[in-house]
Amino acid sequence: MNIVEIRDLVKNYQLDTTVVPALRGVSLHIEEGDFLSIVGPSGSGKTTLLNIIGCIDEATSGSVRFGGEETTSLSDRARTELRLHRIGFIFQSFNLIPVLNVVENVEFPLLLQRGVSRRMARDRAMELVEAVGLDEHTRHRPGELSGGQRQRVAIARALATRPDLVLADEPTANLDSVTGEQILNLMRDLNHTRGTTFIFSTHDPQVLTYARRVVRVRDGLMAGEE
Amino acid sequence: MRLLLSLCGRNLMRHRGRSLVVGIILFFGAMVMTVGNGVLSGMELGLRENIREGFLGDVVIASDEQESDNVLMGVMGKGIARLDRADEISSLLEGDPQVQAFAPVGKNMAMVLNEEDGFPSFAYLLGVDWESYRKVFPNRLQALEGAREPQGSSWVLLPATARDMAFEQMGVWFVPKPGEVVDSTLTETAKERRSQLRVRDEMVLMGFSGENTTSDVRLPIQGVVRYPALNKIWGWFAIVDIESYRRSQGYLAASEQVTLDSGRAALMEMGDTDLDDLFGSKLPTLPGAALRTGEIDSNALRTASAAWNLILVRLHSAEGADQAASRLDSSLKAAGLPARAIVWNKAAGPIGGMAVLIKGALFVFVALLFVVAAIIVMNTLSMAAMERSAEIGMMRAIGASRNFIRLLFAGETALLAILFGGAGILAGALAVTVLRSMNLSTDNDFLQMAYGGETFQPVLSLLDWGLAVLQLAGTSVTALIYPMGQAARITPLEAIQRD
Repeated sequence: MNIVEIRDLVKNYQLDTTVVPALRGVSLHIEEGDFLSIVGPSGSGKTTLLNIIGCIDEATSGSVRFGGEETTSLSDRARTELRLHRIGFIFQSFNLIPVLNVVENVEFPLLLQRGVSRRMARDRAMELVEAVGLDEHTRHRPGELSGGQRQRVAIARALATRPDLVLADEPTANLDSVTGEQILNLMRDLNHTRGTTFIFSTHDPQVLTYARRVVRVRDGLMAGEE
Repeated sequence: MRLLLSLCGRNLMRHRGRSLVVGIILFFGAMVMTVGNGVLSGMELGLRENIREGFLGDVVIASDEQESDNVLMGVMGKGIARLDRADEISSLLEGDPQVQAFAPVGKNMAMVLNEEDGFPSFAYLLGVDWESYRKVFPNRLQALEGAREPQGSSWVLLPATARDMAFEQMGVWFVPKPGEVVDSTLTETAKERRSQLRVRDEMVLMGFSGENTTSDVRLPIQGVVRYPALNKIWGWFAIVDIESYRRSQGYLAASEQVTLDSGRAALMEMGDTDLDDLFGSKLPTLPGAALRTGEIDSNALRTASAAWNLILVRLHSAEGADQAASRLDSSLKAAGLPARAIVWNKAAGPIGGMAVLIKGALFVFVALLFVVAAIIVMNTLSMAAMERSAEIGMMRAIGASRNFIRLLFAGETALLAILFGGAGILAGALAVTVLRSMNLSTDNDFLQMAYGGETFQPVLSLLDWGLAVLQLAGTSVTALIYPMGQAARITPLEAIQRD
């Protein structure tokens, strides 16, 4: 079953008087439980594609269906709700809340949800912190962690709300190769054990060996699929 | 809520420098606004007490024919209308439960005649029945020289301010009977002329109004007095016994009332330019019985043995003077009496106006401070929103709503307002208490007006505390609206792009 269906997706950016095309008619289907990598050089449109799938950016034209629901026509509030309940994000530069410690960062999206008790959120967060191997750093703040540890926190946070889809934009770009490998292993394990769909973008050829499916993007167009 | 408070508190600690800047502005803003409120209240209270207790009481009853509500200091020479049926009005006041005491008074201007062949001077006269006057204004007068309590049927108590002015204009130094000069009360100019000082212990007063000048009366000075405060205002009023006042103003006793026959009326009506006609053929023919006693209704001659201008009313409580005046006014109208009730601050005319002016200036100052504080805080918060766009955008990306971001900003500002602004209000209250205990005094007229008396007595009522909290909340909310909206408009995409 497809969790994401994209048809003829176009995205143009307006830079002063110039229209810059980022996506020029991308069509793509992503199945539930997939571990998919979007590959392409810088400026190819992979981050734009991820942002539109994650309801962070809006399409110029085309259709994006998430779990059967058309997302391009959703209001800002509805897209926020969708991001909160059904999508997890892992950003390139970790993007944790600096004043919260590890476990608080992980439980943060849970506490934004209605009907989740503090206790329930804490238990879930602790479970995930252990799953990403940071149970000895629960009280540390992001500033006290290494890059790899911060990315693990970001992964745990992305999974906290048990989302249908986790989007990771170049998750290993700021990490050394060993740590990057560990992060990819962790994501793949979580994909296997929890069945969560992962889509990550990269331009690192070594990362591709981890992906179950690779989609190539070039100049805003689909350039192939493996 | 706990998450929000925790985030707010930690964000404030993380951005200590900025929090401190905003906090200090809120602290000083709240402190100055609180002190301002205290000064405004103290001034209002002081003026109210001074005017109420010193001169006008809470409510003034004036004639229906009195044009202006301002009965304290009108246009020079413009008389206060005569108050008719004062006895009936007094009966009505005696039956009123809110009225504590009242004193009918005569109030108009008089010329202080110079018996030394020089310039005259002027004074306001307050004609009183001493017994009723002292009931309404007990122990307000301080005797500088002579008696504070006048004796006998004919007298004047001269305030030091009026004496100093008379000396400047006439070169005569007035002293109480028996005419001894007290060196310590001499003005600098009087001291310089001490050896040639022309001293008088009697005053010759001639009442005048817009209609005419009247008769002059010679009165023994029984005391030179002063008020506890605002002598530059009250000190213009020489207090005289009511009968002398009436004589000076030409208010005739009933037995003195006359009706003129047509011939004498024609004589009386001849203008100054017609005086030559007295020696010509136009001289009116006078009948044998020239003057007859009897009733008259002409305003040219003032009537009634109990002629007054005003009744000064003291209430049991100063609170609700407005309502009391309004109620008394209705009672007077209902009883068909030709009078109206005026609340003290309206009756005080320019004094009340000056108070409003000073109060307005202070209010504008406090409002400006409010605006300046709000702008600085708004600018700082706005910069904070921009600096934190990556963090805010990330929160939005993982599901935080715009309202959550708004609440985050509002919570941080509210915490600063409560901590620093609250401390500012307490510091302001402390400053008010210290200023009050210092009993700062002044002889400066303008400052006396601003103080509401001779000493600076700022005071914070419960209302002022509430007002300070409202002002602080107002400043914070005003400062917050724009940056809060700015932060809520930050999109996750913007944050990612900036990152």
